[in-house]
Amino acid sequence: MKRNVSSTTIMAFHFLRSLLHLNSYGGGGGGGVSPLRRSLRIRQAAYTSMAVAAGPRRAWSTALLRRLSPRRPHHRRAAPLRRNKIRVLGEVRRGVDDGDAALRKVVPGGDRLDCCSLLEETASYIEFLSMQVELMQRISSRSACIDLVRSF
Amino acid sequence: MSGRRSRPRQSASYSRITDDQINDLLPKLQALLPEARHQSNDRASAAKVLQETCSYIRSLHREVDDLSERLSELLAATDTNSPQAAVIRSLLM
Repeated sequence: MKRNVSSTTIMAFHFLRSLLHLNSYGGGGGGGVSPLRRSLRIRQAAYTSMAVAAGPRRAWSTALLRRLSPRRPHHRRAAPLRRNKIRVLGEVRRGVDDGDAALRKVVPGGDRLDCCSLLEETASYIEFLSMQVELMQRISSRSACIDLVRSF
Repeated sequence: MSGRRSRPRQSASYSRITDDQINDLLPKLQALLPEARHQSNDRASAAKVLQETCSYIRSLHREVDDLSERLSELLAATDTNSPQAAVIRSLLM
């Protein structure tokens, strides 16, 4: 599981752009949009940036994008067919409590996966989630904003 | 064959293959969890790793929520016409 520099960059780019959009078109300095709505939109932007940076090969990112941006054209990949075959067996296995039921609820798209894929997807999801959290922490500390500008 | 499905009987050959794969993946997953959790656990049980993974993911979700609120407040306070915002905007659009 390598963490490319480019994934971080894509994530940061997408997220920052979403933030600026929110600020310009979402009512400016707090006049039009309620704070709750704005924070929900920021949250949505966060998960979208994560999913975009991870790319379409991950089940969790595809599931997230499907949930968050329903207007996007979504192509069915061949890969899910293979997983469905295993899923039939997986459902037999899942009749016994494997302990991964909670994990399936928490990882997007987790309910469709076999046990092995679920663990791989979980690892990737955790990786990108922590990257996103780190990104948001940096942005929210004010001095980071100024450093960002200087570093360009 | 009895009506009740027991795990070893029903899917023995299947589980033998994937159990190995799962056992390989679990330590990797464990390695991603916060450091403090796996000091002495070289071979933590699968259930424990899954449980800690779940709670770690949930705590990350909560952090995203908190940070979203914080950023929301910061955005509200930021002047959209400030020089920093203008520079960032010109670079991103």
